[in-house]
Amino acid sequence: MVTPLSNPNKKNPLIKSKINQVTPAIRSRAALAMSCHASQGNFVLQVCEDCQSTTYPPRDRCPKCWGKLIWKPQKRSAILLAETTIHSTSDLYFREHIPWRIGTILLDAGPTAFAHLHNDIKIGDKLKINIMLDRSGNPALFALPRKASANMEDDYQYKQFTVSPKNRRVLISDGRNKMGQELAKALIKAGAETVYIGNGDMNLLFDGEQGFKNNPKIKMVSLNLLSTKSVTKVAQQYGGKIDIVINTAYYNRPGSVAFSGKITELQNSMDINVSGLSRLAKAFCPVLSARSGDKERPAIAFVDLLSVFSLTGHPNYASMAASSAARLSLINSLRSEMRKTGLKVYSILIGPLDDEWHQDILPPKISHMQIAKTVIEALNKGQEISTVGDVAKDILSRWKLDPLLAIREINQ
Amino acid sequence: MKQRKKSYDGVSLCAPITIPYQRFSSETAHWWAGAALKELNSKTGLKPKDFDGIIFSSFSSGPDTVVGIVQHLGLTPKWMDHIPTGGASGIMAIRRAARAVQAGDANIIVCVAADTNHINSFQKTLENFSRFSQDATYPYGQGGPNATFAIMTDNYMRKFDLSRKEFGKIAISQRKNALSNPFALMKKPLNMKQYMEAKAIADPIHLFDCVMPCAGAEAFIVTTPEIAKTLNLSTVKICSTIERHNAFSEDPIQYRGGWAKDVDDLWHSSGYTPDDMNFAQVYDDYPLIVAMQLVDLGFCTREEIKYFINKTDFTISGTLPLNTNGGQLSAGQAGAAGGYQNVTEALRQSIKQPLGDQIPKSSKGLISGFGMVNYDRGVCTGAAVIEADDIRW
Repeated sequence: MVTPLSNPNKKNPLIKSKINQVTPAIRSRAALAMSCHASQGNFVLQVCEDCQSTTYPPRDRCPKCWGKLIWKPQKRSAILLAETTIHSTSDLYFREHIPWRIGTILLDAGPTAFAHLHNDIKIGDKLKINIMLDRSGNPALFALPRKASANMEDDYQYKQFTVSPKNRRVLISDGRNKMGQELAKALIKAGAETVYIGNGDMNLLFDGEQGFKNNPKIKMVSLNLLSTKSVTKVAQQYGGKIDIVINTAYYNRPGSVAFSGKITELQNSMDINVSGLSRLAKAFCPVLSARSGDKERPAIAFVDLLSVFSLTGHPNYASMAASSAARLSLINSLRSEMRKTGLKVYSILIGPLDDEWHQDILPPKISHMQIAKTVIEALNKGQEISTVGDVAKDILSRWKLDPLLAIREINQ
Repeated sequence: MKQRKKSYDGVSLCAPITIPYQRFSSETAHWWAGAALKELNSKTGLKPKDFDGIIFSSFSSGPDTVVGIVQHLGLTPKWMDHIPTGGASGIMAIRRAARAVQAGDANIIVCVAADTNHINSFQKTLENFSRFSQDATYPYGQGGPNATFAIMTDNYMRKFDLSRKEFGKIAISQRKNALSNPFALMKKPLNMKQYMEAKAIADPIHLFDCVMPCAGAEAFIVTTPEIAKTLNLSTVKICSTIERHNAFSEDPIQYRGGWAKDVDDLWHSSGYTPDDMNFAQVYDDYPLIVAMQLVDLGFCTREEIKYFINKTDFTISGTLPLNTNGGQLSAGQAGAAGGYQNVTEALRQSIKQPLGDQIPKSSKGLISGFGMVNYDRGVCTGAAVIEADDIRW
């Protein structure tokens, strides 16, 4: 059984922080493909197109008949055959984390594999296997008890793969909007120690402000994403005690490119959705990534919430979609930068919201609560890319099958 | 379909060379290979132009393979081969060189394995060992081969009711053998208490189950009996050999190696049985692999292995002298040279020119190799039965 995590101690400023280290990062192209599936929380293995045999580790051809291999969802079940606890390693990341337990699992899907082991499993146990992304963003098999055990998510090794908000200090970049407000509530419920709420204009009242003032775990900070100076100031003041940054900035005004849209709306979208993200990342990611190796209070993640139309564009929300596309591009670049530091970069792709700015879009539309729920799930599961709502899910799956067709369908 | 294997008539193994190992060396694999050739030259008088064949094995010569070594060390062979299979490379070198000599493709083949060990060599070798290990082993705690063999050992112990004590017996016997070997890196006697109480590395593997990576070189010559006679070299005959790769891939965890597939062929072709062997030099990266070879090569059954280890005296004067130079567990593992030291020690004992103590009776012996944990198990296996031929003084 795992002892539940208690609130970590305050950091002793006299002790030199552990520098950030990441897991060994060299992988084959096939393993990279596996990580794409893992980033969405899917459990996949390669299956031969010809003889249907399942194979692992990632290969480029079937070892039974040399047929072509395709990634297919598989049963997550397995049993533990043998194990070891590693007490000695020359790797700088694992040196900080030994003793480290691994074992050989026999997957019901066929192959055997090495996997990281949860503390609550022993030889012969039935397991549930996840493909997680490790500190270098690469796929890693993690074996969990088949049935959830007490405080399962607090297991030391498991926690190295997730970014659970429990006992963490979180910054929400824009708390004036409903998305940020619902998220703050959900984070507190999920065990966050403190939630810092960004407020772009402290003198201007907003709906929901009173609820924040009554909650001792929520602290409002003056944070204006349009101002580099403002963002930098908050990072200097709070960067040392924020573990997760969630960017909820979302500026959306309807309008097409030629007829109904205004160039000023495009400029506003770009400034908030794109430059805002950039300011936030520039100010916070260096200080967060420097703390990502800390044992007691590591900084762990940068999360961005953005429209699923970043993938395709949208004829009637052209500025929002264009700025979201730019935002997605920045996030991809940021993820590559942060992978070398161990700081996780997560994306939450949202469908159209059920609010005043999406009035002419047909349902299903999503609520702010749905978004908050998905963010918490993503953090707890360690899932790099998530979607909120049926529209986002649908568009992402169409886009994965045929990006050009998805673009044409949405812009029909 | 099955053709009888041709005998190894007309082939002699001779001139075993071991360059004393060093824990760390600032020199290169090329330097160590050159040291082995220099030593061969002083023993045989052979010069660069005299070798018309070469086999080279190394983990640390990158980016060079055998061709780089040939030019670096000034050879002009008409036949060459690169054997990058670590612990199986010595046996494979014997097999390839023997057939080349029989066919007349080459007449004097030098087989040389050389590896250096810089401060970070071992780490570099692990990092770049294989694609499967990069994808599916190395990032899992990075316990290196220790962790992989720990899992295999854990499985084997449970399956065949072995305890750490049996593995301890193997390590302790080899240490005893190493005490007379002036080149062995580990020269302190080892007892069961020390073995059992040693530092845990990756359960159930503890410190004395592990080899010490080091720098070193090993070499020997494969030629015809006639040439050996002209050079006044003592010779050893090859009675039979086997080789197998990626056998039993269906076993979820390795508990047997490719030897088990071909063991009948090995003894049948040799005309001997395991009982006829005066000694065995088997690959010993971990005691588990020694036990596995004793079973798979027919010295006992899997069910008997516990009893067999306990009742057998593996020391130089014992009932089955095993790894008489101390093996890699006590002498050190000089990279790919670890796959040749079993060959050179077997040749030395056969021709009665040991580094340390001589096995009282040493005319017939078994050599066995095991190499390349490409992913979760050793892929390459091989073995040879040899017999002393002409001993010249």
